[in-house]
Amino acid sequence: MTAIIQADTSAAVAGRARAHGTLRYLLRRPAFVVSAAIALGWVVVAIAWPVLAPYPPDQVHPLHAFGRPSAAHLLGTDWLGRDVLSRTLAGSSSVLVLAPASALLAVAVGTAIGLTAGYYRGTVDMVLMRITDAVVTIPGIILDVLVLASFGRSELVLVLVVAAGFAPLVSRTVRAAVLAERERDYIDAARLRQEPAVYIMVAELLPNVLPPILVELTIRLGYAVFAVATLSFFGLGPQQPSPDWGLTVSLGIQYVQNAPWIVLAPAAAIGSLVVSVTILGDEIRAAVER
Amino acid sequence: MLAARRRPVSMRGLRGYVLRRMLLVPVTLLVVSLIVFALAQLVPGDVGRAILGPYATAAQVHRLDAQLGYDRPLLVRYWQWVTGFVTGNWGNSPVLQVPIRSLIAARIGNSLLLAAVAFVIVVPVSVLLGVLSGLRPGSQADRAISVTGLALLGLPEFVGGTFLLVIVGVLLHWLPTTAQAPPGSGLATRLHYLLLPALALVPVLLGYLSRMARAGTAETAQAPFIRTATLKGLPRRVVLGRHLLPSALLPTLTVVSVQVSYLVGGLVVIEELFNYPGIGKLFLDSALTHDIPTLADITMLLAAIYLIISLLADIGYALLDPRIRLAPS
Repeated sequence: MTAIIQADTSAAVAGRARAHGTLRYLLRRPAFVVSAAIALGWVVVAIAWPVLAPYPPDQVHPLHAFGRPSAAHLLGTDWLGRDVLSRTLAGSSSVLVLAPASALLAVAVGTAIGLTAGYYRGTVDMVLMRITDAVVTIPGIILDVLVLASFGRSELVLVLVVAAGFAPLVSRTVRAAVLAERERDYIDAARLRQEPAVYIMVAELLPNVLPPILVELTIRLGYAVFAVATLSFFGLGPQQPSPDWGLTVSLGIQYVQNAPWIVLAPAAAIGSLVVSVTILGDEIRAAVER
Repeated sequence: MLAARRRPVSMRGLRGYVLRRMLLVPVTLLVVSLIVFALAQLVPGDVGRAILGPYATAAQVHRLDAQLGYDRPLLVRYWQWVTGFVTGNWGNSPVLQVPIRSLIAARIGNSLLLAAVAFVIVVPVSVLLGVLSGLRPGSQADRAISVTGLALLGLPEFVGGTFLLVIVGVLLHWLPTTAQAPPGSGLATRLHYLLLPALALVPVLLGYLSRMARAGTAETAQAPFIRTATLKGLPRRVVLGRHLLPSALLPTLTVVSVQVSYLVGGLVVIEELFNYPGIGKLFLDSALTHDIPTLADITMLLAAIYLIISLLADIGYALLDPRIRLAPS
């Protein structure tokens, strides 16, 4: 008994040491450090924008509409005379709630499906994977628009539909990891101890397939920002007068000839966020698979 | 992230593979049609009310429902819709009061032209970049290309499109900012107007294709038959052109289906951004106006196009790969 406990502790220590080593490796990579700094910067802005924004983002000033960038308004004003800088800072909060929520939900559901399919195999596995195949056939954004058009627009449905599109992909990754892991001796031991299946899946298998799940989470986060921003650009996400970036680009694009700063600021904001999150995901994947 | 190199064929040979692969198309379409029909049933409220608005009487709503066939049982309606779709009998758009077929027919050519221009730009550029970086993995150029490709891969089309529109169109005046040429202009003028929207479609496709081409080139460059070709004194041009590239670029062909899927999403975005009357804009407009029959038919059409193109890509791959083409049947 003591021996088993000791083995467990030393395994946990080794796991922690490996995680520590991965982190140290990542911190030496300039691409990781720069993209992590940009992404963290946007998280700070999403929380602290009421302090940072020079004007209230909804303050309308019809006489100062379409103002060029100036000392008073660093990034100019929009078609209602609202301060573009303030709206761009405030616009971070919607995408930084909706995208992580979708990614987390997708990974949670995908992990549950992947664990079940990989552990039971047989019919359960086959049925789950065929459904997954069918969902993957329709291009993601088409399915998202279809569901949002049918159910009506709401941010909750937006999160659910983006997560539903990603969950099958997550489940494939998790299933593949579980298939390799379930043949190990400690799973046989757990079965001999007559541990319930749910306990084996959650307490034995899950901790050991955690690294690919974490990689999946960071990669899905990048895709989630992409999907959420695109759906808000379609007008299927946050509604007016929200300062959401995608919404602002779609409304402001008609003034692009005379006031390009209205769309340039939110477009640059989405660009910096999505590119930094994508590179972050790739760096973490490379570090874990090292 | 990159799809693994597919080896679709066992020893059963090409004909069996092609047959099985072709059979998969109607089966998948059937599943897609069930999903689309189920979603179309979830429209809140009833269809007649949605069209006539809150001031119509219950009798009027009921009459329109009957006229549109919404009072019949689910299975009957599903059967009518599917058989109608297959026979080309697509009915009218309840919102626009126009046959859906003529709506789609008027726009699909525009979308195909835009997609073709984008592909003509993206394929040579991404293959060139991918091969360049794949030949010298780890070099400065390789790292620059792969980081840029990764960044482009994650950039939503409307963001890249907005940058292009502002910089190339508004600030530099190099290209027109509208996608549609004045009516009656020739093909050359139409292509000139389409250049900017097509360029906006490039980044996402470029990121993915160049990464595939790079992976294929880097893997093949290590293969023994390339070393043999080099050691027997063939000029580098021949080694590259006749030995390396054909097998290095095969895996790139298999991701064509993924590309088509990206392209469909991209078309919806770019046609909306440039206000271009293609099938993507029609799709989004019908979504925003709750024109569910039109939406359902476009989705089925897009799924069918997608499945047929990926079928052709897989068969093309099987035909080009000597290991599969020459396998005993």
